[in-house]
Amino acid sequence: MSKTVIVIDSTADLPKSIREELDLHIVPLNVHFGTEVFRDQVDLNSQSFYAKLKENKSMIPRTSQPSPAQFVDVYKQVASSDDQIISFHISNKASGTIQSALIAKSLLPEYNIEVIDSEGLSIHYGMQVIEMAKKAREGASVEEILKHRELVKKNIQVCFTVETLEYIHKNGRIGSASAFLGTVLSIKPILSIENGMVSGIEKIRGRKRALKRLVEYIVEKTADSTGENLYLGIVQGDAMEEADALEAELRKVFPKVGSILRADMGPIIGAHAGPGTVGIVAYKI
Amino acid sequence: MANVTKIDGDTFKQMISAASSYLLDNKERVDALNVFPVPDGDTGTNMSLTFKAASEELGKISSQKVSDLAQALARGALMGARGNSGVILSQLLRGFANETDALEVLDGVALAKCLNGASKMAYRAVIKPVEGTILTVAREAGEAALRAAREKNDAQHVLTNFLTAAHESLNNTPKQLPVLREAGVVDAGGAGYVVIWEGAVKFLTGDIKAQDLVKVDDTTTFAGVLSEESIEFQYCTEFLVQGDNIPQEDLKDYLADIGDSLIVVGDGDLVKIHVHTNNPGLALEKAVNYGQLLKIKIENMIEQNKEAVSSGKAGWTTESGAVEFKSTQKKDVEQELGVVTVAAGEGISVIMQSLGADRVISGGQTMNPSTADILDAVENCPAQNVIILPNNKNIVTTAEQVPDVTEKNVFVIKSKTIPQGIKALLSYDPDMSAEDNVKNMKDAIKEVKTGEVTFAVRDTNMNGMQIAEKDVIGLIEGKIQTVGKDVSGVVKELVSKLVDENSAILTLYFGADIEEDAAKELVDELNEQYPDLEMEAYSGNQPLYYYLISVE
Repeated sequence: MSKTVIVIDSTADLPKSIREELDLHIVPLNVHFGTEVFRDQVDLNSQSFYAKLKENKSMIPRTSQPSPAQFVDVYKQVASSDDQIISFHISNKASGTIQSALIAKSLLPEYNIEVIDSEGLSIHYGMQVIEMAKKAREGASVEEILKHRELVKKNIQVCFTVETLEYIHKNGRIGSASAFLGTVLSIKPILSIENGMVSGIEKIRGRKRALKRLVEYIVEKTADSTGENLYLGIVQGDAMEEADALEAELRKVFPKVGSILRADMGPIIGAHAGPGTVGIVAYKI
Repeated sequence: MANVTKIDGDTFKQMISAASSYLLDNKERVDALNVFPVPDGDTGTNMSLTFKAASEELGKISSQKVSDLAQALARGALMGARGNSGVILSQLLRGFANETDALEVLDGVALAKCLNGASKMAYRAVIKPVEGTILTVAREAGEAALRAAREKNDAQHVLTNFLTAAHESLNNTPKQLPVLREAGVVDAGGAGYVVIWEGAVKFLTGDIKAQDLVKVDDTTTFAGVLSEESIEFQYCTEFLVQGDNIPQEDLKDYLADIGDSLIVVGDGDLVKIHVHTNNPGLALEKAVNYGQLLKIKIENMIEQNKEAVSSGKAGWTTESGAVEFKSTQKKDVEQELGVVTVAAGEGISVIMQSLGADRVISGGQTMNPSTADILDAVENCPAQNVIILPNNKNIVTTAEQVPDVTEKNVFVIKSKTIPQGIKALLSYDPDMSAEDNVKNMKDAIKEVKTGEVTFAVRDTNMNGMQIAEKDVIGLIEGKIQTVGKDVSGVVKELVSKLVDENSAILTLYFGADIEEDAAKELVDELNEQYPDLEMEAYSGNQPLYYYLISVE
């Protein structure tokens, strides 16, 4: 019997338990420290990545998309030509991952592959994956899965703050957040993701105020006071305590919220956002 | 080497290996051009590693058929593709390979078909093809290859024409892609593609051998950007010698010993010298024996190069020589909305510019700019809608004259202190309307409290305080609140009056007369006293005011 398989990439920042539970197939991007290359989550997990960042303070890690051949290998491994593959990925505006996936698709004309741009990053992308995988598990068709994902995408809210603008700046993937860069004052920006790119919301001075503002922003955008039907996720890169405090704060403002997804920001997004990044994703369906 | 009319398997292997080494040698130069799509400076590295992985695949197969080799090359690129430019390169090589059919050797016509097929495949593979990139270079050069093959079915002729067209196309990329034009560079991916085929042509013409390349031919220079290590002689030295019967040959011999890039031209009475050397003094000393020296210019190329690299400004000159792209100055781009501010002190000025101020007028207490000064800045500001932040009580009135004397749409925010001006700029968003910005900036000003620490210019009695000339005085929102003899003491007292339970951040901008260490020490002391406040100190470099204090 033919089946529907979801292939994602490593930037979804989903915890291992969820990846396994939802049977997701992952193509890793690469992290480069100088001439050293690591496959995201295969050779280098979040913890060792941030440790490495601290060791190599002067070195800004680079990242690169998977090669088309990596996608070809995974597609062949996880599906046959009778199956349907949904290859769902990090925003095409932030990474060439989709480009590699599309080339792989063109190399496998006998396969049924839908390559879809999440227009997301980290768990903003990852939480869309979860929704798709849940639908797939219910036995939904490809069309239904994609339709469901559209709905989630329309409602999803995201904001995050970084400890330092250095990484965003040096890695160049700034989008319209560029206005936040080059400031002499230490700014803790409130950033979001719009049309697949990082966008600036507000310049805040002071870390504590920035973290407070993240919660306010989510409250404003979701226009929710109970959290009853709200799905929440918190992602952090080397900022566990602050993420814990955020969770406590979110539970206060959304007393009826269920379980909150907690995720570690992986090396790829981490290389661009830097240590100390904290973000919140929220949606209702 | 004789003219290569047909490329057989062996030649193909060697040519690719030569091109691969050539690209590796040139990768930093390509990296330095990288501004599109993401300015992360790794295009050369990614392309060279991709091409290296591809060419290594050739060593793994025994077939001598060009078609088999080209397929292996494409396969290697696909597996080793690194980064976006690497992926596109893999598609170019895939397109090349697809056109080789089952050929043993490539003649001119077959080669042209491959080169043209390369770009076709790449255009198909790229999600959103953008002109002014490697795609354009590959396509225009591919078309030139087809034309050359119609003239003469000769592989070397085709490849040489392909390369010339590629150079031209590359130098045209800044005209097609604004981001390149702004940065003053040609497209990095296109440059990488040119370098590959330049290596191939150099191999065919015998200029270089396979895997035998260390130095880059100096006919290919990337104007403005050289790797630091590649600068052997640091000082570009230029001058004229005016005298009688200047022995040019002697000068040439001498200068050639102490440097390179030597030019000695003239008529015996006036000779122009250009030399790169580590001892410009020696060059001048030698020349002064023959006459007087004029128009002496010595430049440090390592420093210049650092600047070129850091500013991303680089051009590209090619051996075809005819077309050249020089770095261009970044211009003010006309915007919807601009901001003019007034500030005293270099540090304050830099902070304001970093927050988006387009023009900063120098001025403040005791040096109020005139209406004409502010008008001038407004007229100069590249926007039709201009917001003015006077940042001083006295200047507010002056600024309010400006809307009457300009055609531009001017808004004056009544910011009375520097911290207010900075706070207003923090909420400034050039993508929003002028009206929304004015509202946000006005609101923002209310959220900050300003303290100023300066000295009294004369004896006075104010608010019941006896103040002597040169006493240190502390002001809150322009009103004297405290007086003392010691700067730090007055700051502390002022802070105690400024801070309340709602305060979160305290910022000190220390003036021109305050040492950074003293400011840091003061911050440490304040930090102990107010552990819940986040504290920052910046050099404002302002005159007269020891400290400007902002509490939010």
